[in-house]
Amino acid sequence: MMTYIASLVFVIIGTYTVISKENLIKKVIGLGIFTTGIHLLLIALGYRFAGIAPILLKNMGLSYFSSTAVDPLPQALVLTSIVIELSVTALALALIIKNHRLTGSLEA
Amino acid sequence: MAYLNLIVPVLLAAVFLITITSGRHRHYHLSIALSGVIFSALFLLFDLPRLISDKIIVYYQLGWRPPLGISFAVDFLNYTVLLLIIFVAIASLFISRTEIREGKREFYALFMLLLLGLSGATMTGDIFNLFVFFEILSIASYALVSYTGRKKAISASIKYLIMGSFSTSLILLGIVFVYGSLGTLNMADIASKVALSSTTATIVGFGFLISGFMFKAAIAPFHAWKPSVIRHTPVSLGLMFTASGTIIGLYTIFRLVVTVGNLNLSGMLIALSFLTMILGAVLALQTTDIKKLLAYSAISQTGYVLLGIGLSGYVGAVYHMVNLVIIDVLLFVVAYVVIKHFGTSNLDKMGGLGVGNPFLFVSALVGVLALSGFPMTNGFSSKLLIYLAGIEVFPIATFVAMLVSVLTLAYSFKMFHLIFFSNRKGAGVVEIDDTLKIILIIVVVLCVVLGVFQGYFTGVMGIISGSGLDRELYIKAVLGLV
Repeated sequence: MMTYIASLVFVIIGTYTVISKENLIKKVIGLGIFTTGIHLLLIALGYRFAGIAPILLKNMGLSYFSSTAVDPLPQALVLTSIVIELSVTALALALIIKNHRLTGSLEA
Repeated sequence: MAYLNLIVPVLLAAVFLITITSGRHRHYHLSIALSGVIFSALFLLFDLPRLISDKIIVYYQLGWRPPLGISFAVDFLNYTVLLLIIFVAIASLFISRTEIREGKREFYALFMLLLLGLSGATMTGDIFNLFVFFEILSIASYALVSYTGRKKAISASIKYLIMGSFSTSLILLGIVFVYGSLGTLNMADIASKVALSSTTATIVGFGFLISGFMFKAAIAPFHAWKPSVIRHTPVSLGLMFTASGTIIGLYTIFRLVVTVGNLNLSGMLIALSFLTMILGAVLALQTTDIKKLLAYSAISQTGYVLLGIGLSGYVGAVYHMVNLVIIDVLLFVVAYVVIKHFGTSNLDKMGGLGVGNPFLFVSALVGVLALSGFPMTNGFSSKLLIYLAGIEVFPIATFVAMLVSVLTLAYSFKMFHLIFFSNRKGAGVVEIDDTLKIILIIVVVLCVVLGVFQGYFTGVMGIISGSGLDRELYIKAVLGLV
């Protein structure tokens, strides 16, 4: 439950930052916070208390495996999404630097 | 073995080839890009017989069957969308041949990446894969907007990037909700589960997904990025963003609302389509920049397609989606030729092309008439279907659509008048490339043919939209239950 609330707080802070701040660097930070909130929500979905890694070993029963292993898919999704977010942030910062060189301002 | 799944690798190979080609061999970039696009078109045509016999082509990535693996599922609806996207890409590559002079390598590499994202997003049958392809096409388009390196282009690109990545994050949030409530990412699997085990979270998830895709389709209130982006990019890119960007957004909305979700959103869709149609047309009336005018006009026309989906007039919606792309190609080619002649995109500084340019005059006239829905043109056939769908269910919608049609006539003839008549006499003869002439002839013929043989094409569009509506077939074919 705590994780869900935390992710909601992240999403709200991120949205607020993107909308209210004029400074472009702060806007990019806001986007980062927003996506982090979504990632947290996604991870929380796959979390299981005292879960094991989702690898089926030879001496492991199927019912034991399915009742204790964590869901591996959200982690794969988060990994993909982090890579995408990284490239978007890199592109954004490159454009902001270019904008700063041309106009001398950090606002678009 | 389907040929369709080769499209993404071929386009990716084209991206790499363009990147490693050195700047000395300048004209290689365009040739590689064009051959990549033509190969994709050929793969698409090779698969047509199989599509007609099977009604849907499903390809499992690496042999993993859904719901575990990622699959490509192509029926008549995505096939048409893919065909249109490739057609637009060919047209904008021909425009770029004379337009793009510097930074060709970067331009064509990013262009092919954009096309890769578009075609992948069209074919995929998995929502997370859809998100990844949308990010590919978005990142390519952010970089493409800034490619000229001018102050205003960079500023437009940053604004587009911040709004765009916020909207793609909304898509991811939607995916989280859908996955959390249904436990699957495959579209067909979602479609089979949504009726039985959907909860509030599923509906919320679909809401986030649809609002994210509405941003890409530039539907009001998410339209603000489009005019400024198109204003500061080359015309070839403007065409790509307007035609392909709109059609991919509309296609995903159609697929999610009708095939996958089977949701009843007609109230919301009709309200948003009113807003989009009226806002686009009114803003197009007051602008004096030809690129901005075309962008607003595309926004306004997108509203018609959305209205068609909202009124359950799917045949009219698909018909108008096809026409929208054809008319966009026509008008953007005309705009490119005119902007090149006058050296500005400001309509007030144009005029007098009515003398000595019969070919351009006739093409532009057909485009303007088709846009405003004049009988015997394609715009009329599709708008008529949407009006008829409205009369049965919700007559006010038909009234509003007709009103916007009048506004469309007003702004498109304003553009036509300012280019061809207005004050100056004899502004000279406009040079048109032979390739662009061929494209103009093809598009003008398409405009007229789709308008004159309305009955026949209504049947064709019925088949296309019918395959989007056939949920049973889609679920069974993708999940391998046949």
